[in-house]
Amino acid sequence: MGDQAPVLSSAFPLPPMAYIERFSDETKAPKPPAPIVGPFELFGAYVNLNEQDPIPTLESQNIQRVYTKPDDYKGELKKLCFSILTNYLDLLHIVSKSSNVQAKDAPELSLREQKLAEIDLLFVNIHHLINELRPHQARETLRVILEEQKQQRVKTSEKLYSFLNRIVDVLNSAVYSLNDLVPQLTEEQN
Amino acid sequence: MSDRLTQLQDVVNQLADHLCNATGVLQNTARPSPFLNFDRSGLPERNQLQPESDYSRLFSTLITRTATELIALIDSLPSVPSSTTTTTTTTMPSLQQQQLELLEAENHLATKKLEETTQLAEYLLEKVQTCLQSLSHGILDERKKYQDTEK
Repeated sequence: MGDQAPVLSSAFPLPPMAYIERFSDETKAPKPPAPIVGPFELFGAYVNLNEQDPIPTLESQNIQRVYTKPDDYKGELKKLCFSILTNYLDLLHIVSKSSNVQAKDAPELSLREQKLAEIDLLFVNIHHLINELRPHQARETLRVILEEQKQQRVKTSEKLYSFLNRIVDVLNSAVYSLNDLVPQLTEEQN
Repeated sequence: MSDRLTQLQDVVNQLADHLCNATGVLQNTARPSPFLNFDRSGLPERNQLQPESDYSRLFSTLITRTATELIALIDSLPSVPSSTTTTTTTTMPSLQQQQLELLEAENHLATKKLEETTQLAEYLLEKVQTCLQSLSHGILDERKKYQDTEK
């Protein structure tokens, strides 16, 4: 495409140059790159993926964990949802009634700011809980893919085997019919 | 149509959006509240009450609807067995990992069987091809002999 008009380029971006250089007519396509070990750069920041803990815990990010039972995902998610709504109602109450009251626990924050911080924390917690379900979802997807692959392979081999049996039957019947014809031919020759 | 967790995340963000928009719009469109012991310059117009109650009703409907959507999505999630929460370093393989290993082994077996069947098919194909070849050679030889004898 680019030979006749070098100025024109295709609508799609080119593949990585390193890939193009390693590919030739003799060699097959190179193997995919191995998974990265250790920290790598992602959008300008360095990320260190830990295999044991794919989702960084709230403690590592210095965020308070509000939910108590990490195992009961559904119950905790619902509780967080209701807490968000009740806290929002409290915030509306504070904003509509009081003017600029200082919070009792943290005097440097106003009551509304403290309430906002609480709602913020609840949202962060609910998102963190959802993120914790992601590795489980990934494993389930992998399991479904493997199951589908296995089913496909078993079906293909069964179909192929049945076809082979039919072929052998056809060949056998051809041989038998030939055997029937041969004595006729020998009789004719005689 | 994205997966349930993404939908869940979107609904949570939508709820946050509704909460923020509700406070903002209601604050902007609210009637000015009267100061105590202060003479008002003009009477407030009564018909301004209508859009305010509409907005508050609209936002309350939106927020409650989003919250019910969120609850429904949470209920639709499949139950996650507690053995899969491997946030701490555990040496016992979870049920999922065992299933994955079993599936991998079964997959290997199925692959081997398919490879064997393919090899058998290739062998049969080779045999049939040699038979056809010898048959065609025989037919050609016979035809040549027949033509020679005719001449």
